[in-house]
Amino acid sequence: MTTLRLLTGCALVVTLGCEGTIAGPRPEVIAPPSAGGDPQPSEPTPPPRVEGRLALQPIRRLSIAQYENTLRALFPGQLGVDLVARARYPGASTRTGLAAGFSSDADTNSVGTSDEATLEDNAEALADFLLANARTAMPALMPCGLPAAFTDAQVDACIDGFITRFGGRAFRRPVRAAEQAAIRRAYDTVRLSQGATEAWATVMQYFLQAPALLYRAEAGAGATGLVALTPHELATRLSFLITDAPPDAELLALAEAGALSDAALEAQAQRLLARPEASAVVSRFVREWLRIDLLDAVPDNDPALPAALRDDYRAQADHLVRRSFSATSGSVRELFRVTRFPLGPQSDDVYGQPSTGGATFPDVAVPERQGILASGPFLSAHAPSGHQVAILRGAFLRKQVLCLSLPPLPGNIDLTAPLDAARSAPTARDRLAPTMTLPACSGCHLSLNPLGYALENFDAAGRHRTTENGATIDASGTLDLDGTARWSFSGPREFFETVAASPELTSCAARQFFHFAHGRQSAPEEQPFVDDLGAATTTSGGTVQQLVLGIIRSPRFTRFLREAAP
Amino acid sequence: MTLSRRRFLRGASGAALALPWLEKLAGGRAFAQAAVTRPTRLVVVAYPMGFIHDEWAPSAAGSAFTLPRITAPLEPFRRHLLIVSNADNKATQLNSQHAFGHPAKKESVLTGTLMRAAFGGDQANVMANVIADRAGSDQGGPNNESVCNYVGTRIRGGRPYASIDLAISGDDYDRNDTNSSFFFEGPVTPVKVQANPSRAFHQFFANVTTDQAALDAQRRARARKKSALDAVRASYVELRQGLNPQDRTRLEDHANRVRQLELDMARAACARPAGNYGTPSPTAPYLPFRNLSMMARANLMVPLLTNAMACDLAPVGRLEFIDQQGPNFGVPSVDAAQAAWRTAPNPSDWHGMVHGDASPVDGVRTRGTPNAPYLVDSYRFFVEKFVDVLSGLRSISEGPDGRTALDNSMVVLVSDYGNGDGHSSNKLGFVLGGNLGGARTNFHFDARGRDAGFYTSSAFGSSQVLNTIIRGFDLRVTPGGAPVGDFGLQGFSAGAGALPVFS
Repeated sequence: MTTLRLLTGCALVVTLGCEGTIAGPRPEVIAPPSAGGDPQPSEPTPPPRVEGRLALQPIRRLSIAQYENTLRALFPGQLGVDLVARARYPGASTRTGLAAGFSSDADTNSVGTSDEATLEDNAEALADFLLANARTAMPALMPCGLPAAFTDAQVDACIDGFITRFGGRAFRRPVRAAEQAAIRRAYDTVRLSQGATEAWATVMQYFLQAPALLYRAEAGAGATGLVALTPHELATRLSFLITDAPPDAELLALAEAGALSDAALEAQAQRLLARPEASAVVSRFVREWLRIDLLDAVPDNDPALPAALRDDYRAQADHLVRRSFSATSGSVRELFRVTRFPLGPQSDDVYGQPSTGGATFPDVAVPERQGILASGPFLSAHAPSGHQVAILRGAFLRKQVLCLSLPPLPGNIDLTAPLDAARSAPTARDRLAPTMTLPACSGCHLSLNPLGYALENFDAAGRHRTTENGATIDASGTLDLDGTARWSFSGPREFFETVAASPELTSCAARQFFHFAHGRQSAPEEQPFVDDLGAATTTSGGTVQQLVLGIIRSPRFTRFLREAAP
Repeated sequence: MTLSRRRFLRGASGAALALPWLEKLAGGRAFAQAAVTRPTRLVVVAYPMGFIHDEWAPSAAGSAFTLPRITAPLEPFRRHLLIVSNADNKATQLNSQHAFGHPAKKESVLTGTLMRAAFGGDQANVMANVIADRAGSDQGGPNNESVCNYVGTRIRGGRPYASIDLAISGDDYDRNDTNSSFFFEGPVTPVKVQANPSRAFHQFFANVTTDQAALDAQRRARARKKSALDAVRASYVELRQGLNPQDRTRLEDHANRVRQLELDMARAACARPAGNYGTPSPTAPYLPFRNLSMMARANLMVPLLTNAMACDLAPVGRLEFIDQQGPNFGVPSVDAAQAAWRTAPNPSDWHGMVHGDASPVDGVRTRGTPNAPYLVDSYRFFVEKFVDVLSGLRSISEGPDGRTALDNSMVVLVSDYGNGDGHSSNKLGFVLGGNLGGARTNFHFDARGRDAGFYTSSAFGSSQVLNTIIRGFDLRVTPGGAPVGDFGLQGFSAGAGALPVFS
């Protein structure tokens, strides 16, 4: 393998400021975007070494996973299981919503007309279920020791306390007086005509679509400019970042006690990272970053990827990530270097391995593969039928995995004749040769196609192959990366290692994690911070701890920018 | 399918609702612009063969007009109406050429474009030749669908049907699904309109319950829903305190959608239309409807349409009179005249009357001075049925403060021709009624423009009427984004923007 680095900008970013065992970006000072005035220091020490500006953090509505986890938290035991099974919460779908982001993005979860109807439908359906099971649900959920054979009067006596307590957990902060009054009005109105049980169901119908539950609205504690999050808001940010769930009792207690110091926040982060939910979030991050969920967009009748194999691949992707890049072990780099793959009952054959027996997805060494890019789930998710797979894969690797620029598609080039002339060539490299040689195309494709050719030893189902239409596949390549480096590889294994070892990969992972954590892409003014996070990630190889702590140590995690009212 | 209110009461264009209600709740300052409540549904009534211009067009532009004989039935609704006269259908005109025949006029009047080539060739007045003349070369303009389709797709929400598409025939046959000539889903993809009232009834209302226990359960569920939504809406006011302007806008947009749901909630319970639509059986799946006049069929179809709209089964309702030759009107003067024309030595029918033919009975042309009363009556029939739709919607309560289904609906009357005597698609007339989303009402807009003579090109085209409809719904390219651009085939000088009827 030869990796010629022409320029080394990103790789040599100094990370001497990092101390301790967790690499993270250097402390920074956030400056409000308005000109003039002194920046408000977010940390008393150390002195600033990186300056950045804070972009607006849009309000975020819960994703599907976050809503369902909220249900599980609010309704313990079987009740939560039943409600989640019935929930029809509108969120981003792989087919339409994740073209440029993550399922927890602010923009991805905006509310359209039909979404609001769905939200209301969902709340009504869940409340109907609770109403049908009120004799068990109400005693389980309400304070005051409500008996199974409760009376309306007993519910009346308990309802205010219930609203306060349940609402505090649902809203992830204390219920405000105006909210309490509105909920009580809803209860009283229905109580008069339909009785206490149906009135209680109305309260639940409210909670299940209440804006304070659906949205992570951060009012902060301040007027304008840089505003510190309240302890409850901080706890909510941390909890959703690491577990996709609302704060648990311990975290809420710290928030209520005003005891979420920086040290306490990090300690809580470490505690949450050890919970199994954290690894599920990491798995989601990787699947959405690498768009492995595009498997869901494969037509059901696609002969290259039968439904059973697709199911197998979904499970394989989850196992693969959890075993090499979990919340407590592994790293991004390890994820891209793994050589043992968890094989299920359908995928062992695709990987050319003896039957594994299946259900536990045992790890099997597969010689010709390395890392998640060589996994069936990734390869098949990026091989839509009817498309030039090599180009699509190359473009995706360049833009999404390495965060390199991707020129806009020219709109006025007619390639029909040259491509037709090459159409009968046996391999994709030969068929796409005109795109590498025609002046109008080569400017982009020279830095694009080789990435895709490197994966040509794997077909649309992720099966390894050495020939295509009887001709030997040439998966070697050479390309320039945005003028910073030149990659050269003789085949897929060298290519996989080139990617895994590259600072472009780890820097990109950091950028993507920033996006994932904040629910938005980084703004240009945040580039210094993102660069620093990337450098730290390159140094560490990209552990989850480093990424998470890098995010939460930033002042932008504990503060936000509030504009003056118009 | 169980059609609960939850399922089909889907408000639309919630984003279009203005914000002041929220401000009012919050005790905040009023917004500068007055609130405009947008329609949540669109109903289009289309009939063939235009009208007699001087018997149709209001006497003067503006609000101080009188209505002549054909449009006189509109008088009780005039404060709900915008009447547009003299709008040229410019999509049918290319340089000095005009598209041929009936089909091109019909397909273009609501699409603002031509679905098929309609210029050149042998000028034969048949669709096959129109298609063959320039087959494949003009597969529609940028829209390729009717304005009602365009609007419906964007305001549908969770409604169970995309549209309620009905037809009224006037011949002796029991017709079922028929290709529409006015309404298109895409290029050369006409909407199917249902001409059999029994089939339409059972398609749309079979699952609407009449069971008292079920209705009672629905009522109780609605009460719970309303209380919950009241609290949700109040919570939005509370939650937006202290947020950035963009976030406040996002929450307000969401809250407006909640408000729309509440308005839906306030509507009357969905009801089946009265009338004998027949009960399907294994041997007779549907009641056949033969030898019925358009009047008799309309008496079944119009309530079916208005009730379906009030039930929010769909965002769009369409009613098309599909017989342009010699329909049995059920109007004595017209039917008697047609009977005489049909039995005369050189028989003809209503189509001939429309084109101003000399009567085969007495040799007097139907158009001129005076116009034949039976021809006026025939055109007046379509206006009366349009009024029936307005009346039906107005009779259905939809919420507090006396609002009715008409207050939430935009209802449009359209034909393919202006003066029907010469296949002319110039000087068309439109009636827009109900909730026009801020457009002027009790108003006659003369599209000829100031000082333009009748035979000169109009200042405003019919596609600008389509843009006016779209603007009434405040459709946006993306939620919260820019308003939808022009609708219509621009290459045919279809005209840009809406009519200047919004204040």
